[in-house]
Amino acid sequence: MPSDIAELRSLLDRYERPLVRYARGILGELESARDVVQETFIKWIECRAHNTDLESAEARAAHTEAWLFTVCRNRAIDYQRKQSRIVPMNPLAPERPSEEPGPAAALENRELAGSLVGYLEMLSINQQEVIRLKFQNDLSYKEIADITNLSVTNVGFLLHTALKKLRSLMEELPPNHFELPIRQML
Amino acid sequence: MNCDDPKLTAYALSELDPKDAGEIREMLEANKAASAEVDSTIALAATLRAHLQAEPAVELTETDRAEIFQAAREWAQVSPKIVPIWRRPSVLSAMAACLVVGLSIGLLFPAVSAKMRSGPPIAVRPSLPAPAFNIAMGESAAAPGDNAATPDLASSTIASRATTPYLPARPIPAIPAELNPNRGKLSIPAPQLATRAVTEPFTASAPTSAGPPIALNSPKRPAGSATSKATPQRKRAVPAPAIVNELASTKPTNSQSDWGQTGKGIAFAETSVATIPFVRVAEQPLLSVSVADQAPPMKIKESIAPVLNAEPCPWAPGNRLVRFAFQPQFSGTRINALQVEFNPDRVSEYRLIGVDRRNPGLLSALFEIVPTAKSTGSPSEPLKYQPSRPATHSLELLTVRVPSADARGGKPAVREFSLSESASR
Repeated sequence: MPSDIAELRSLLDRYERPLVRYARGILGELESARDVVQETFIKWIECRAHNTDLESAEARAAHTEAWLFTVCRNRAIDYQRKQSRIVPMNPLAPERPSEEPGPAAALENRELAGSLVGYLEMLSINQQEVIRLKFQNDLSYKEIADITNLSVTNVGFLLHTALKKLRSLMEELPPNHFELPIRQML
Repeated sequence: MNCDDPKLTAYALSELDPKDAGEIREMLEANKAASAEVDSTIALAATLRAHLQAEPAVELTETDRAEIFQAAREWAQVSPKIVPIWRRPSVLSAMAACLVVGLSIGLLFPAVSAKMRSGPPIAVRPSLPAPAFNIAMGESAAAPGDNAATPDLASSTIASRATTPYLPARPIPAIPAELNPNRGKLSIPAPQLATRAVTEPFTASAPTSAGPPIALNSPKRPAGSATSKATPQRKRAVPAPAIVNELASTKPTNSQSDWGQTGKGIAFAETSVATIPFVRVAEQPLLSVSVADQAPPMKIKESIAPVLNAEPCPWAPGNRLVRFAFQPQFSGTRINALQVEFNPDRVSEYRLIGVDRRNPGLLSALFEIVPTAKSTGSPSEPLKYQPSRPATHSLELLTVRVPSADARGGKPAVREFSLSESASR
């Protein structure tokens, strides 16, 4: 079906990067995020094959973005759960490394804390997710609510508290490594 | 409005509908602190949007994209499977459900209805060790087609286990149906059941004249038709009287299995009343009628209402038809067994015509008795091993003993009710 191939190509061009970025924000790893996005698109192909011509193209387009983000999020969460159940076994490691961060890690942490990403890392998982969905992907409250299975009111409250906390963090921590727009803002 | 309101954030992010946004806008004109909060939120949102969207966008590898397109091509080659309507899961589920429901109704409904129609089997057994007779079912005399056409009495026989020769089967002279004035109705008035609580010892005093004719005959069938269909049976050497045919038409009991389902109908001891033998009270004053029932013995809290009716026997003018009935005062109780003892001073012979248990908890029995003065049989010889019973010289006709249990869980006891015919006259 050439039309489906063409539609798939357009979807990849439009949502490939946002989805990888979104999945990476959940998983924190690029390769896993790519696998999740690949599975998301294959899932879209399967569903499209099962539900041919059930909806008009306009109706599909209206739901495709939210559908892709929802499937991507669910797959990422499933991937996280699977990874959390995997216990790495290393019986040949008699020496246990110190839990104290090394000098390089300490420096990295300080740099991270001074950046905007560092501020975001201080938020809760839900707050980070809605911040990224809102400001990184320009989704509305309703779309975010559909993706995260939250109510619109809850999404608004999460965003409100997240922005409030970000402001307080920026006032407390010195903006040593801030990017230019944040310096200008402060 | 509080400055820490999510609505302000939603307004700053343009998430409010125009109406709410207009209200917030009007409020911000008056509230400088809230206006500053909104401005700060707008600025932070712009910063976040610019920063986050400027993050390096990583795309899929060529291998990932190739696998996606390969999957798309494979799915494109798979032709959509056209499943017939009758093979779709929903249709198959509906068919299976209908099948299950149909089978359930088909299998369970006859059993339930049969159980509802049936009642406890009735057996008449004599008291031991007195000479006794049991009612045993014989083979059906009527052909299956006849059974379906004429719902009539079972062709049962009385298997006499009596060791005494004084229990002959004495035929009753038949009364032609057209000459029988009682044809089409039973002349015995209905007993006044449950009209009053009777304290023991009970002497029936309910006036029989006040009651309407008893409704033992089938109201849907004319009496003549019952007689015409019931009489030409093979075993009936003596045509049964019309009254018996009317009784018979109320409940067909034409096989052994039907005999066990006569609890809600009238259970008759014999196909033809003419073959029911009389029992001499002198030899066997006591008759035990046990009704097999799974229910516990009847618990009598206060009383039951035994009622006695006696009328002249339509086919034997010298004899009398005696009917007594019991109905507990409480629903749900059943009489499982009772003993009837006839007064030898009043009754010389008796025979059980039938037992009616159509109503739960109600047990009525119909006897034909031969009064002592009208006894026509040869005098019986005194039994050698039977205890002699002193004459009571009372007007009591019979005594009924009903095993009962105390309602408060006491010891089982036997309630005894002495019934007299004088009051019913």
